[in-house]
Amino acid sequence: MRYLKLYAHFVRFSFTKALQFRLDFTFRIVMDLVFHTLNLIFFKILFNHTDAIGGWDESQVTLFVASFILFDGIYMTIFASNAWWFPEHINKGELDLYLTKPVSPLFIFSLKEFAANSFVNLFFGIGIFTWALTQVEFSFSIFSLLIYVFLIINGTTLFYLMQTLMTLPVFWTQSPRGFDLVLHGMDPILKYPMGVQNQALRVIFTFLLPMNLVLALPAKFFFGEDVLTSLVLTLLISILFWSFILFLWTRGLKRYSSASS
Amino acid sequence: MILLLNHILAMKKQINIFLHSLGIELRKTFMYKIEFWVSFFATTCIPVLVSYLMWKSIYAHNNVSEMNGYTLSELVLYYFCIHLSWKAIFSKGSGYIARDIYYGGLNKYIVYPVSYLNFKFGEYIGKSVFYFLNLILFIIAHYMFLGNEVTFFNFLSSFLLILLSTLTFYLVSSSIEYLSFWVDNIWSLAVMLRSMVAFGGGVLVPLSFYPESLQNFLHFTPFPYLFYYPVQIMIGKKSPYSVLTIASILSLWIILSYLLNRFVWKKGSYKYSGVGI
Repeated sequence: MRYLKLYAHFVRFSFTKALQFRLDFTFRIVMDLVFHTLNLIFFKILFNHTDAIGGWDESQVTLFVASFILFDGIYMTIFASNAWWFPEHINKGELDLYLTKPVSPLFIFSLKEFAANSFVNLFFGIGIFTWALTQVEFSFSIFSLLIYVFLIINGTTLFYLMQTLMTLPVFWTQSPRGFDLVLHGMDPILKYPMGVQNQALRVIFTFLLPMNLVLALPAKFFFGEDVLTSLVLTLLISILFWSFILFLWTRGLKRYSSASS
Repeated sequence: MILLLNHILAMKKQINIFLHSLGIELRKTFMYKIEFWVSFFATTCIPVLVSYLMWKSIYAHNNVSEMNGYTLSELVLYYFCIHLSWKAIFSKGSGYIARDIYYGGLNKYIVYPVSYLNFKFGEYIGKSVFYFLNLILFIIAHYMFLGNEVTFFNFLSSFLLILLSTLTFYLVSSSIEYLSFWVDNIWSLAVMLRSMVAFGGGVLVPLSFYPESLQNFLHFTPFPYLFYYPVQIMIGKKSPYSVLTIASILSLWIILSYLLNRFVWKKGSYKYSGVGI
């Protein structure tokens, strides 16, 4: 309850801050619209030349892309700004402030900045996702849809943990950004259907760096492919990955020496 | 005669400053070696690998060995060249000027007897050099081990075109960075520009796969001339434009973007309040 109240404060502050910079607020909305529209057009162009990508037809891929837009909306709203400042807080010694507060520093670190402008885009994501749902050529139950949405939210959290994994080395190396560019390079793993990956990539991106758990495995579950395996794997690996990141975070904190000490 | 000598000396000084800032940036790039190399492989090899696998599945599904004039191996060559060119042209990302404006870092450049545009261009190229070298090494390796139709002329001319593209993109992106004099955050504008350039420049998929109407429209924008046509020439594909035509079009864009750049800088610098002064 205390944490919920605190989060409500974060959200209120973020809205006040975002509305002070109205031009930036508008730019960000337009940026996301351009980015996602181009993404949809890209797959439309591909489907002018084929009727399936990685075993999925156009309606399935469209729903998959719409799920990406939804994921992006949630990630940009809740986590992206926090993840961006992560290495800087560590290098500049700004973590001191959070360590002295009577709440989990990881909680403040991960959720302090709420991107109000991206929150508006989240509605765009929900709209596209709903539209894509009406296009699919298979039937689905409300229950499986709810689980699918839950898995996308779980995937968003996992992606944030992967981002954290890439920036945690900053505790040891004091480099400006850690390995966060690595995750940007792996964008196509997130955006393209899992069916295009070969066996080696599937193993790497399911068990080692679980990019496939963000959207691909949830989509497989929703499309009725390997339902039980997809669901169990997603939940199990998510728990393991959470524990691993918490372990690294604790180790990192022990290593933290502030900026001037 | 004295005037000419003064001009030559001033130009020499600017070249020295450019080379100096280039050297500093190059050293900064390699400061954190492990991070740099891991990020380089992840951002270059993985997108190419996944694109290859996606096209492989499309070719297999349709049971064809060629699509829109591309075999699968030509597509791999295309994606490698376009990704390395993309990284060279888009070297510094966004915020490299905006940060100076927001945090007052511009103060020192105002009192230095150097051109800010020139100094930043040195840094920009310093970041690109590594990717240019990679492009050269990749083409040589491809030629030696796999053999393709890349001639020396093709490679050299397309390489020079990509240098012109880098200058064009630098002038456009720095003009957007200068908007920081007025607005509080230009990151979203820079991302928008990057998305449009990637889409219109064929970074995601060769433009010949686009519908004809879209291809015709893109001809009126600078995007295809930045990467797509230079890379087409580099990999020995037939381009509708000659090297000279593409160079002329890029030069025209350079002049236009230079004028825009100077205009925005002139207007914006009067708005600069200099944090920390």
